[in-house]
Amino acid sequence: MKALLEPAARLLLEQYGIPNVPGVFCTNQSELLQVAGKIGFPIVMKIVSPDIIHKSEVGGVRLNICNEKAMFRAYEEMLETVKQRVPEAKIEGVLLTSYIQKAREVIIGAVEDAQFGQVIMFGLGGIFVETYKDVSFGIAPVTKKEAQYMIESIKAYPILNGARGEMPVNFELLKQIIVNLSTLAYECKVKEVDLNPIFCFDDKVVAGDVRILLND
Amino acid sequence: MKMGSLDYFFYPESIAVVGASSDPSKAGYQVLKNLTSMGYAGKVFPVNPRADELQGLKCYKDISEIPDKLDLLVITVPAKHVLPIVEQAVQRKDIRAIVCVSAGFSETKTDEGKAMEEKLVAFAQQADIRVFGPNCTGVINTAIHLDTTIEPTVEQVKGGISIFSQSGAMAGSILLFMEDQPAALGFNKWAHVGNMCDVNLLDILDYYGTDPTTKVVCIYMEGISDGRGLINTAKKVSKDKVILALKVGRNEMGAKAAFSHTGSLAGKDEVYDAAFRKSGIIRVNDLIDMVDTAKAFSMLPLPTNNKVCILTEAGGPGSMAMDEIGKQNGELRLAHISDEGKKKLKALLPDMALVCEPDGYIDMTAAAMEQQHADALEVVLNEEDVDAVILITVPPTFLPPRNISSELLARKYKTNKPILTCFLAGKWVLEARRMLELASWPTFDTAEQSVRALLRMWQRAKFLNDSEE
Repeated sequence: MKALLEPAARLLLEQYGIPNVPGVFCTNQSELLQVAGKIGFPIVMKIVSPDIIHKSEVGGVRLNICNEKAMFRAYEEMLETVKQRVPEAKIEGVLLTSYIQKAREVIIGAVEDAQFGQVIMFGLGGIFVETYKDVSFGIAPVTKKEAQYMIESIKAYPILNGARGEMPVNFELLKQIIVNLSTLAYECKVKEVDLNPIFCFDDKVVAGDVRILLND
Repeated sequence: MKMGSLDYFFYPESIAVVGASSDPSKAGYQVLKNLTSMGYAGKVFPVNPRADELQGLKCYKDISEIPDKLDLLVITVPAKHVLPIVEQAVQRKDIRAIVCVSAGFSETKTDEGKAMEEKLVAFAQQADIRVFGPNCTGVINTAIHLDTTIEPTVEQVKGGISIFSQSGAMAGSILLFMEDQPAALGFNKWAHVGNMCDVNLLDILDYYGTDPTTKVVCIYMEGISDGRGLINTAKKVSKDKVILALKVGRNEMGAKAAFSHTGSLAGKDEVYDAAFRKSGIIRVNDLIDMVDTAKAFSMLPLPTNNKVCILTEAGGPGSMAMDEIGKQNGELRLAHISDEGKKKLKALLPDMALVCEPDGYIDMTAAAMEQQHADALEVVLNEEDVDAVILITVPPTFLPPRNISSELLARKYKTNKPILTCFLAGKWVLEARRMLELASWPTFDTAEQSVRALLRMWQRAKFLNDSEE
């Protein structure tokens, strides 16, 4: 099994028509400066290493970085902390992405099931997935109709539909991402995929973080 | 019959039973008894070296002595004697199907058992012989009164329901529950394939799918290794036949250690649910649910939409039905009754009747006699918004239940809307229910069960609509 580095995983998503939050891979301070200028603050910084899957557990994720000074400090601290906690990890650099606020977050993933092959999962992000296991499943590849059923069959569906006085999220785009990810999972025969979180708005839906584990 | 066809199991013209016995405690006794006592018209040849005659039939020392052409061989001898018999079957060159009742193969999980099973399959395959089992009870086909099993026999009422089970006990129980309905629920074919060394769940599902007399397929399953195969076969079959699955292991696998959230959340059972949904298989919860649902499908037209009218003679069971509708996430809804319809109902029902409180719910009250049951049913069936009717009655002492059935049957309603009827309860209403069911008018033990059966029918109607798009 082989985990794709996040920059490579983002490329694969784009090939399958799944939009990512804007982001660029950086290996030094001058690249950081250039990229931050392009995508604009606030930003997120994430460690890129083939040896680290759970980034936040080793200090490899910093959210809501608001200016250049904080960015450079975060960069130094991150490299140091990660080196301390996982001394054997080979560090390729960091990924800078836009920091997205006030979105409704969902998770879409896929796993390889021993009997049914690639199975796709949908749920609301954060505590809904972890605490309530409020998720739905489909056998990849799914049709738009199946994707719609998956979205509508979670208990938290009213939240996406605007229960708290918000606009409904863009269900057309969300359905298309489920369909596209299921196609990716099926065609690439992936072991596991997680898009978590996916940020949903009424006019756009973008993946904030991606993990892809391929079969050998 | 085509080489390799499962027709050799379901429509054999001649059968030999190896290990046939005069000892009622032996499988070989029971198989022979079931084969000869249900009216099977083909030839049956008992084989046992120590007997000259069994249950009135000439007994043979071994299968090579049987002069007639053989289609099917049923083997009931202990495992260690099975392989030589299969070799003899191969040498005869006419046998195309073997039901291996004998146990002691791969299910023992021993190397010896597994090796014997592999040899059994290898022998059979090189001679184009298909195998049921080992460790199975074989087939029943009511069309020709065939029963190769050791199951308690049931009244063989012909019907459109065919059954497949990975458990012999559950397969037998489904039949017993079907027979135990007010009017024995008819069935068509039945199969238990045990270890599935050759013929497996997908082969049977495919076979039932091409069987013109099968309308509803009932499956009891524990699991399947070829999940994609199940989806492909079931998708094909579910286009024109109803597939009901009772799948155990709802809590079999919890979270597994994982790379991703998805990995830790994908429980086995939800994956089966998704696969069933994709392939048009309707999942039922238990035996009673299975039999109720199969009965509804085999007797009723599908609803065209999800609006139901509850027509009840008693408040309590009516409320139970309403609660059950409420549990189904809005899948079923109460129908709207027109002003004209309400007027008619008020005029014909007892004064204290509650008409459309709420809309679509009619409490006729215990003062309603048989004509009022039948008249009110006629009115609601003619309502445009009504897609299905649940008719509930708890006949009081002054209204013999069979009077209601007679009146309902006499009306000969011309409708394409399903009517699900619930008479509560027990011996008091049994004859009345039997009268209806004999006329293909299904009845249910409780109002909740009738709601659940209707829900499955609506799911099926939706599935067919969706697949047309």
